[in-house]
Amino acid sequence: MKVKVLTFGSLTDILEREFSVEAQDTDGLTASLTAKHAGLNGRKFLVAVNDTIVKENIALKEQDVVALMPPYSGG
Amino acid sequence: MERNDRYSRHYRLSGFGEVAQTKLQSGRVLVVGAGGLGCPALQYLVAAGVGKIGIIDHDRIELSNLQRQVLFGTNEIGLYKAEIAAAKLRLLNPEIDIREYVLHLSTENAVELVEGYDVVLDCTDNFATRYLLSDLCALLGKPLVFGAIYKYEGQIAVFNVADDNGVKTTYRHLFPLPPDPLDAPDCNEVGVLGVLPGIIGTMQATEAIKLLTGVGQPLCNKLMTINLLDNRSMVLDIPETLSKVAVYPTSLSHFEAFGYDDHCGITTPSVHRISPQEFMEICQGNGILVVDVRNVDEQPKLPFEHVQIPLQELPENVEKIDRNHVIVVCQSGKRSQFAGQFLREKLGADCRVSHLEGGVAALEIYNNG
Repeated sequence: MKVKVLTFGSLTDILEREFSVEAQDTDGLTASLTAKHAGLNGRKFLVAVNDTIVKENIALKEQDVVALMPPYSGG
Repeated sequence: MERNDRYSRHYRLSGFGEVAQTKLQSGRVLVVGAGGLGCPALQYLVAAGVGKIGIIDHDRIELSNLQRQVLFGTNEIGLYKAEIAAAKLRLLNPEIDIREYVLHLSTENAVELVEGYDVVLDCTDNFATRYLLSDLCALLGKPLVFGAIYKYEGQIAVFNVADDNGVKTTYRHLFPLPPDPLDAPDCNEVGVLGVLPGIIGTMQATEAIKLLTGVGQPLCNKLMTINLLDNRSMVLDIPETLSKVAVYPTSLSHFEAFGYDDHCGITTPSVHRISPQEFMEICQGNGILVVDVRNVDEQPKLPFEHVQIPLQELPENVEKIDRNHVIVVCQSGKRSQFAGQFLREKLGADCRVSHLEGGVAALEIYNNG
């Protein structure tokens, strides 16, 4: 499935802010990104699919929008 | 209720009016952190007429704060943020009961502070305090308006408030565990656009006003993000399920014993031990302050420049310690170790704290041998 990925915060230092990628499910997506970008290793970020945060691996559909968002500490 | 012309635009506002204004005036909001987020949030909450407002911040004003912390002036550098904020806000609206707390929010003092308010604003700048506040507000069922910023981006959410389905979520529903400190740099390290906390802090104040008055739909179980560079914003739904990896206190007594610094990977720098030889070499150096924590009648006196603050008087005299390396001294090294640990917690990470191993007794032996 081709999905759109949006990245936020410090993840934009590692990944493009917006890109398209082939992925079957959310775990597969984050694993393949981490394999390509060592900087993602051990990073904590939330995964949202079509504006809903997901807690477990879910299957992706064509044109899903996946947001990867780390915690921000600033105040 | 007598109409107060100060709030006439709220009275006239359809959907708000006297009913909502009266609710605001009986509301109590605690703002944790009087920095980039806290300053604008406080200004609007005080201007809007929230009845009681608490301000917690233990920091002093620095020049680099003034680019975004709009309650403070150049002439106030070095003064406590909570005190200056309170003074400015009393000028803005003397009808508000404003309480300032110059302290570091901890598991020891947080319960009592938070219990006295209806809504809490997380305007902090570190994960240890964010998780502490989130866990405590969850335990107390206290509405928490969360705000956080990174460079040009902000996050806002309302926690512990049930949505129409009765579902409540917390910060741990977003991020069950804190990040590695190295992966989440703060504004000091990566910078921040000055207006960003102005926008996010003002939105936090808006959410608090909505919660207190019942006007509108607060961001319950939703995380809003805004990027000022492209003006894109998103609202993500936060599901009810909490990740199994989350570790958090499940009772108030558990909370009071929970180590948030450890939990967030913050290792407290230890108190350095200094030998008598090393002590003699450096004790009169630049930037070093020797603090004798013995009682005034204990002998022998130290034959060089030092300050004497008996151990039991140390808590009231921390501000006398104004150098970046403190060496604590006592008779045997026991009280100095204890005092060193106390100062380690009170002074910032920039201050090195050492203590003389073996105390003045060991120093005597070294100097006479």
